[in-house]
Amino acid sequence: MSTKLPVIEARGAHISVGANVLLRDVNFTIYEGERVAIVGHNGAGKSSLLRAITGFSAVTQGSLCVLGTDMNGLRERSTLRNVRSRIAQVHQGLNLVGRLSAIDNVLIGGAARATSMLTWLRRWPTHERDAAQAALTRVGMAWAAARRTDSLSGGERQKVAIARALHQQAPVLLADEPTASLDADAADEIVELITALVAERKSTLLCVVHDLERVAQLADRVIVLRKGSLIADAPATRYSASELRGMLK
Amino acid sequence: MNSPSQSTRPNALTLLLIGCALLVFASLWTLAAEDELSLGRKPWQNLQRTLGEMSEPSFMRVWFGDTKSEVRDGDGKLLRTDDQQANERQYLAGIGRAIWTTLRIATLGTALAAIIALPLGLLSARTLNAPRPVFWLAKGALDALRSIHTLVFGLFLVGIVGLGATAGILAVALHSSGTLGKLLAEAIESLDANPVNAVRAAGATPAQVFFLGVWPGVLPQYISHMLYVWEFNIRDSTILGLVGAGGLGLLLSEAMSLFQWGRLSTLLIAIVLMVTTFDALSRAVRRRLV
Repeated sequence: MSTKLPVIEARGAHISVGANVLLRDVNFTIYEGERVAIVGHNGAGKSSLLRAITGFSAVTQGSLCVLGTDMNGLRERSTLRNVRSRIAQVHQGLNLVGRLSAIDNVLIGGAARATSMLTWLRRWPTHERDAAQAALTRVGMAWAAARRTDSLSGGERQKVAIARALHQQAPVLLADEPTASLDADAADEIVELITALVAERKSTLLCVVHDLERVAQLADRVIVLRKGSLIADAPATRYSASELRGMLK
Repeated sequence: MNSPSQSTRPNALTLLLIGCALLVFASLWTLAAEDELSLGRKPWQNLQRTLGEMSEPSFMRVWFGDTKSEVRDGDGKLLRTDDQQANERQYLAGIGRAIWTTLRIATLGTALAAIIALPLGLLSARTLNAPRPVFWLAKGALDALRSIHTLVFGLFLVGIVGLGATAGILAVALHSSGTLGKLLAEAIESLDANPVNAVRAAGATPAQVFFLGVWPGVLPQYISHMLYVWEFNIRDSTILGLVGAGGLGLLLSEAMSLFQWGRLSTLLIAIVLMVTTFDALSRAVRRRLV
């Protein structure tokens, strides 16, 4: 049995919107430092699970505990903000603020630490600015610090999103299809970057993976979802990409 | 398969067209019955005379006017000698001053409207989830401000703050804040929620979410809307003088009351030039913003 602390624990978790069940009776525990891939077709419940973990949707039955906080009926906004600040995210659609520069987007990662009113005007403490610049340098995007992110390519923006996650200095990284809509070279670069950073920081990684060939590259463990149900939870090396594909049919 | 009753039932568009036709017919019928559709006596002669006089804009007299124009009474007695060139130069200077006043009314009115519209627009944007009573209050205020015309506000405000530009500025500001607030709320509602949620997901406070996620997305649109409303207000401010709220409208009213069609023609040319220039300027800036 692992001696590591549980980071995310789902016990009989259901998520439904009206009569539509998005996630049904899901049970798993993710421990600190684990690298977990979630796979499943569209509508399998992957994004719903990620949204529930970050408190953007509610678990309607069962329980979901994230970083020691029960997310069920979490009313206190400051507690929710605290949980969110400890989960960095790299989203499928990048989700950068297009009209802001790369450095301003990265600085948003430190919003929970620097809450002064000056940050409303994008005036950040010097140490935050230095750390954000260092994060951009780490992902090889220092040259684009002053560039608006809507002028960058898909791969470049994804690197800025990773720099923002890095700057958040969170123990958990959630990545939702981080290589979607990237060409093969850019996708390789992003996967290498994520795995290197997770190793450096000893972060827990929960990553929704659409490209099944990359599961073993990104994760040590794989959770397979189909039509809202968890159908497999095993070491990533147990199933080949074609076996995973077969399970999803 | 459709039942016979379904296939013969008129569709919504047909019903709408019938409704519109009935409304047009009823309007024509009732106005004619009230003798309100008359074109007056000798409309063609009047039109020809007016157009004839307007075809000689008064500003031409600056160069071609009589420097010793004699003004006589009905009996032919010489009352005074006028220098038409000097008179028109003075009148043109007056138009210049009125244009400047009109521009200031439109600009200050729009600036004030932008300030009033900001909180109302934010509170009435559905996606920002203001408390329901506050939301409805803000939305109601915007609807009320937008539905009262600037000229009506002008009439009302002249009675409160007196004749002059202040009434004009306030009238423009009140009506435009309704329009700007609604446009701001719509801009916020149509904003892509994903970047905003990404800021929220970083553990940002609600104020940070607004300033770092929402505001950068809507600011260019808000400025663009402000310029558009300013453009509109320059046009609107030209008639505010008709109710004593300052600007070109006063000169328009004067020229029309005294049947000075040449001067009216000069005024209309000045208005067209002013509006066209500022429309082009505003459009050029707005194109660069979006």
